[in-house]
Amino acid sequence: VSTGEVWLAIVLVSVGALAARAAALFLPGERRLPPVVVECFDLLPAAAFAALVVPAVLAPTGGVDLVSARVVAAGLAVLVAWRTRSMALTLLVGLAVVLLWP
Amino acid sequence: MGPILLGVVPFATVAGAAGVQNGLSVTETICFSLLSFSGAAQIVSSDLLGGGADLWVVVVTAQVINLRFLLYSVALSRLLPPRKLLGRLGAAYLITDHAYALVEQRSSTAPRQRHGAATQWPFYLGAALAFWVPWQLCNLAGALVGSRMPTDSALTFAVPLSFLALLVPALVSAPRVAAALVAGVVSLAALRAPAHSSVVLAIVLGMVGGLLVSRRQRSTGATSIEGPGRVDG
Repeated sequence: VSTGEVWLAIVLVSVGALAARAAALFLPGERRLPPVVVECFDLLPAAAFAALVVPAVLAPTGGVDLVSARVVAAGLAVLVAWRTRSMALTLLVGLAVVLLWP
Repeated sequence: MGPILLGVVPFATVAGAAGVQNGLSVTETICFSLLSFSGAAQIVSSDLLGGGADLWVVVVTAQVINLRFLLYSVALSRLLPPRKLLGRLGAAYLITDHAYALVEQRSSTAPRQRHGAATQWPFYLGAALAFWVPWQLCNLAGALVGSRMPTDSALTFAVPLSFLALLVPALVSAPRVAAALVAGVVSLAALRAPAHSSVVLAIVLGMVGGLLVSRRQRSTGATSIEGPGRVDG
């Protein structure tokens, strides 16, 4: 990555983050969002994180690979995240599987 | 606060490490964290930049993840009494999932404090800063540790694992599950799309899938609206 591109990304992403957070400053009057917008926002995290996780687990090198340390690690991590909702435990279990995989 | 801060440490550390592991310098990583104060967006951006994604894909994906702040912004503006512009910008910068959750919880358990709430601002700023300081410190620690690690170690898997830890608790309604499923399938099917644009396509189609399921639910009479999805950082 070129340094210029990195800094441009940093600035644009940061400005975008602040703009989203300060949105209510620029919204007029009632400050209520249309229901369909609220609904889209409700779906956003699930869609976004799935779009990022699935290729990283199933196709880390570009081709789909259904049997790998990553798939087993992710499977166990899903169970841990589901039962405990703990970021720390999820990372610990997932990384342990990948690191200890024969 | 305790359990919340416990979650900050690993996530902020992963965010810091993800930066340097993807070719950003320690300075760039720290500035990214200070300026954006958005863990998920920072990790995604670093990951995509390191993977050779186009700048627009990086910015759009990060912005999509940050759009949830808009929801908090609107909700907080109803809970917090008005302030001068600068104070509001500062408060806006400090918005996180956790700070929002705490203020929301406080005003719903103590409704009398909602109006004329002179104590609401100190409470919000306290909660937000109690989150900001350890976040930045752990980010720095992650960047320093990450810069001493080989970039091809198994630890790079920490990034997708952290997303998984955010994804799983969000899957509490049928529309959200549908959104995740569609997004996951599309992200694989469109893997060869240029410069990681598959991520953007997958998110958009995932949301459409989720909306369709929620429409169908509503037409059959089931309720489908949940609270806003909560995500760390």
